[in-house]
Amino acid sequence: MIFYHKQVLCYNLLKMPEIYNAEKNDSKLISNIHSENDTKESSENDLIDTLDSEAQQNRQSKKAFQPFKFESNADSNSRVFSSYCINPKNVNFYHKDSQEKVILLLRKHPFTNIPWIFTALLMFLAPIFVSFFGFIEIVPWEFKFVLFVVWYMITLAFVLEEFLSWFYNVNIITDERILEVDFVNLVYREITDANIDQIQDVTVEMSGVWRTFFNFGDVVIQTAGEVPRIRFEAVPRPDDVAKILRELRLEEEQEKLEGRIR
Amino acid sequence: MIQGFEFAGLNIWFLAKIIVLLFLIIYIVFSGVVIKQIINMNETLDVGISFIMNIIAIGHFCFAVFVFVFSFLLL
Repeated sequence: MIFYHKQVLCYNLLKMPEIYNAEKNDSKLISNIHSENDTKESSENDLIDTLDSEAQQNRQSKKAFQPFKFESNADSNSRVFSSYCINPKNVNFYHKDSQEKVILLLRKHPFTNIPWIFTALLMFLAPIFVSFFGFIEIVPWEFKFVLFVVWYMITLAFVLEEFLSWFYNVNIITDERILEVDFVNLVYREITDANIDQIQDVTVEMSGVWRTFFNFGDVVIQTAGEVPRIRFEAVPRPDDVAKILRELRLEEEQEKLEGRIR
Repeated sequence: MIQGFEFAGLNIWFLAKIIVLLFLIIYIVFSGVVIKQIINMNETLDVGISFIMNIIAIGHFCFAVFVFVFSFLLL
């Protein structure tokens, strides 16, 4: 039987050497493809391993990422009037989720208060200059006194309104979303929010001598939400704000990939 | 009544008193709105000093009422 097979093989070799060689070539080709596939598989496995290790490193780096550690030890009470408040304690806002964590509370830079403080100072000193006008002599002292008090009440109202406007018009960044709280006047307020994953583009605008000197500017956030643009106006350290937003977006994407979305 | 000029049969200082008192009434309304505004603001954003802000707003309102009463009696 074995002899017969050998004969057939010799016959094939003699009669159809190209076919025989083709089979051999094919087998070589197949073995080459197999080896290539093996190489590919091994390289894919290596790639997956690399990605896994990178993801692990990213996770570790995210755990280690504490951009706010520098100010976390500061007394929270002393930062109530801060315009750049990182990890603020005791901050609650409308519709805040129980698990939501405020990362950054922003107000306009204190330098933006200079114009109204200067105006208030002029208003405070104005009664001194009124005495230079002659007609004030004919006014009875009772009216002088009451007008004096009324003038300082107007000054007080002006200062109070400007301070409230500065203090309560805030921008908040949490681990889930960004908020812009805007009290336009006494009876009108506007609250805009967008989820972190809706942020498409963050632009920092810093122009002018004072803004460059004191390091404050606008952070314009393009979103995919109903409100296409949210503007944090005249906030301190706008580059840092943009960096924090970028890192939060990355973290949000990572959470999505890992299925840890709240 | 403080004696002074006449305007349309009325003492000008009496008119001035009416104007000042009207202004102070408007100011009292304004200070009341400020209280409401601060309450709304504290509901929207609470940074831990809501109590102090409320005290300031109520103090402002009381001061406005006091000035009105004082002006009413003095003028």
